[in-house]
Amino acid sequence: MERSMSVLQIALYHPNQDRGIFEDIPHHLEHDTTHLVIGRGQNAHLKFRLPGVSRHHISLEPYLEKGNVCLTFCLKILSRSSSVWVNGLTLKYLEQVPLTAVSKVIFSGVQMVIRVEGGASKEKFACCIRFSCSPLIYRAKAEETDEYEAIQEDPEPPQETRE
Amino acid sequence: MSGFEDADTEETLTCFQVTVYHPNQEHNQVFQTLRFFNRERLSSMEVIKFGRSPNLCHYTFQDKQVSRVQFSLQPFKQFNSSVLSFEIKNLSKKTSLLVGNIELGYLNKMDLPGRCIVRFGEYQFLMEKEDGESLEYFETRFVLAPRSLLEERHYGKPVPENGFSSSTLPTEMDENEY
Repeated sequence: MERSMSVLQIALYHPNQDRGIFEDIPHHLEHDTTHLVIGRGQNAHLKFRLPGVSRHHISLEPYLEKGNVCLTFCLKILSRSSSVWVNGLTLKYLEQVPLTAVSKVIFSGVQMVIRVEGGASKEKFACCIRFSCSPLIYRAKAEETDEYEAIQEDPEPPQETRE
Repeated sequence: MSGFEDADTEETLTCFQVTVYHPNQEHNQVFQTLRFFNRERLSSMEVIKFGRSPNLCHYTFQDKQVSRVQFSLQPFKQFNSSVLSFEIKNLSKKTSLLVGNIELGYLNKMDLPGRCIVRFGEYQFLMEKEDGESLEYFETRFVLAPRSLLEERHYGKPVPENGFSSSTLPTEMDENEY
């Protein structure tokens, strides 16, 4: 009997998504236990038509934690040039975090929410992808703006006033 | 000369040295495809697979008892670290992988310490990492051990009984041994 697959429910949003940037992304995808690559390149499994996205931008790696029967997923940054925001952390090249039950991810203007639904299969997993008409992550954008503004509003004091 | 002057500054590469041992290595030539003492430069984006299948693996063992893909190594970067770390993952459904004394089942993975012994079946590997500056590339180097890695203290540094060793931790050793 075939075991049920773990499913990554992935919601995507980008302000310019009406320009075909998600055109190459299928609604449903089944993948084996190798890394699933998200990026702009020809061999990416989830392919974004966005120049700001690296050819290999992010990977999702399935693995088993000791004692668990369902797959866990590790999100790793493959882009050398840009960082990725994941659940409040800004990750850079080769940094990685395990996905939580619901993970919020922002990269190159793309908002992605991933919900993990556990299944017993150790052979493959599925991705179900939907495209949202409205923003998915409000808080992260506000945090990013605040951080930027804080930097702008609090410049280094001039050298002569330091004493 | 201008090529030399304009070239990017060279960065040192993290060297991942693997000392290998199998009791039948002389007769069965299980390691015949490995190029010993050769340094091979690899991209940090690669997942390095070890196993029997030359189509699936970067490093192969000539032995039907080895799974087509036995295990993988992959570089990553710890937060607040400036150097590469490595993870090891068991990709064999049939055979457990022992990392030190920790047993990894199929698809289990863990961070590798700076120095440790990895085993599956009769295969033994002493894996040692020497840090370098580059995050883009690293290099591998294979050495053939003449004797079992478990029998003796070798190559100048002891591997503790739990199979792990790290330069960042105090190393238990008897100074009089050397």
